[in-house]
Amino acid sequence: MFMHLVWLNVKARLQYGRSFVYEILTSMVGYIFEFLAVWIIINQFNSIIGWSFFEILFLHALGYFVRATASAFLWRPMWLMSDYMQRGQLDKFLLSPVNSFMYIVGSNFMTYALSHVILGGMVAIISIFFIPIDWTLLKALLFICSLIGAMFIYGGFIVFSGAISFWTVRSSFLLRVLTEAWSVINYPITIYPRGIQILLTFFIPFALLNYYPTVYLFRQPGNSNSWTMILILAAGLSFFTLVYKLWWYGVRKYQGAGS
Amino acid sequence: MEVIKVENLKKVYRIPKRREGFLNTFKDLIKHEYEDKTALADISFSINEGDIVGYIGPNGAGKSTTIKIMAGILYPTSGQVTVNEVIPYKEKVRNAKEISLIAGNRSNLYWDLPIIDTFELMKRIYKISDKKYKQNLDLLSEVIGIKDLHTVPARQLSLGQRMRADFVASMLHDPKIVYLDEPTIGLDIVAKDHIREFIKTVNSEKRTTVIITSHDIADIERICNRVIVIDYGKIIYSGNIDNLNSEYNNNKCIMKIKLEDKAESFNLEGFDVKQVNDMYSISFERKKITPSGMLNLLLEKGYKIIDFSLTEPSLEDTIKAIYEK
Repeated sequence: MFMHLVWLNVKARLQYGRSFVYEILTSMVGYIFEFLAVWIIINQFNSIIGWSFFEILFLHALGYFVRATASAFLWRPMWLMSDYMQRGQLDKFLLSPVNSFMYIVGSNFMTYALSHVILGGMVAIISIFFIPIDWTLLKALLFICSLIGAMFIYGGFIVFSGAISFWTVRSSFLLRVLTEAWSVINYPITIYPRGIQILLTFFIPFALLNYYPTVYLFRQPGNSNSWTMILILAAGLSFFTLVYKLWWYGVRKYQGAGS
Repeated sequence: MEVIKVENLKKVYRIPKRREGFLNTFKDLIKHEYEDKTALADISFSINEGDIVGYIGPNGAGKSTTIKIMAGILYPTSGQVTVNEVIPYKEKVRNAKEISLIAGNRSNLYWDLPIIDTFELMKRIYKISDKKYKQNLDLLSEVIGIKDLHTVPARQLSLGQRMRADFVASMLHDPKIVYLDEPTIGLDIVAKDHIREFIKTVNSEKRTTVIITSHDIADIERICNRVIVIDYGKIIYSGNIDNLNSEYNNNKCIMKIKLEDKAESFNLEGFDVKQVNDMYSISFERKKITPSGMLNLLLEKGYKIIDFSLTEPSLEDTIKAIYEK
């Protein structure tokens, strides 16, 4: 049912076929300029603390990829939570015999984010060809695991900001922080002072999205190894579960209060 | 057979108090003071299978609160509610499969997609078998009149068509109980008629229990067999619709007659007669004499009536009187 809902959203978006294509084109243009900026910077400085152009490009693209995948599913439903509550539209979801969370999430799939997912993915894959990596099956598997964990971490933050709208009505502030402040990870976090690195690793763990998995892949020896990958997956799953439970707690409180 | 049972239902809302004054606004930010608002005081009623119940009351009386609790989306403060032998807010999924909530001002349809897509979504959500889905889809579309509109996106439909599509979408899973919240709001006369006929047909064919909240008295009059009136969170009346008027002493009929011989002065002993242009208006209590009795009386007295009209006690007047108390 969930995938069917997602598909319905994509189908609806495709109804406006031409504007969908324009959206993708404009994102692509935006991307090209961003990468151009990176290229210029690297050209000037030859490399950024030892990271070559394609390595930075990969880091960049991976960040987009992870973030966009999580956002595609979760951004819009969580953004709409306070709206739904104020307009009494939450009832339709609570009334159905299916998991209300899944219903809300599936009904609000953001097709627009797919353009970021595809572009980010493509750029990442292309960059990989230019980077010497020692591939092993284990490495690839662990890398993918950490990506999944990272998606759940970022997604968890999105759901968290949606969940707190049960207690405070306007929660868009946190969401905006998430969508705009994450670009700090576009460069390896080792360029920042130690304090910021710790912040980005443990407190606002954006670095887990792209830096650590990337280091694991081809920047060894660095501050990331196979255990880090598993840790990221574990952290992601448990964090998301916690936030998920928080969301449901909010729902039950809402059902006690009513309006 | 009882299908809904509500006993001593009570619902109290805790509303943050908003205090007047500059300093108090800040105090409110830090720590809210709450006040209790009783939406439902002590409600009890039961509804039988196949009933079409008009659940009416002035705005703010507690209708939506009751419906939400029966639907399972709201938790009561105390009291018992059983719907189809299930406690709705405790077994949400089981309850959801047997009910349907249709609100006149909210649509369940996907705006940009053909309505058939919404129907198929409902099929998946309620896990309707292929056979039953096709059966219900054909039957419902036929009865309500949207058979040719399946491929039209919701945004291209008129309000009346959208309401009808909403009805079909909400009844594909054969709900035993349907809650209707202002189902005919904003619809033209013909559309209203169609919807009312549809409800009656479904009710008679499938024994669907219908609970309807409407401010349109004609809705209630035409299709309900029972009425429950709620005000200030308390049930004021619960019973057959026919008895409602007499219960509230609203028995006054008005018969207007035109006599062949206009010169005659017209007087009727024991009844209040007024002259309005060239017609006489007679007020009488239904309890004292029925309209047909009145006609017979006039004919017996030898009056030659060439035109007459009859106004029965109106439900609207009764309800107005109840609301104004």
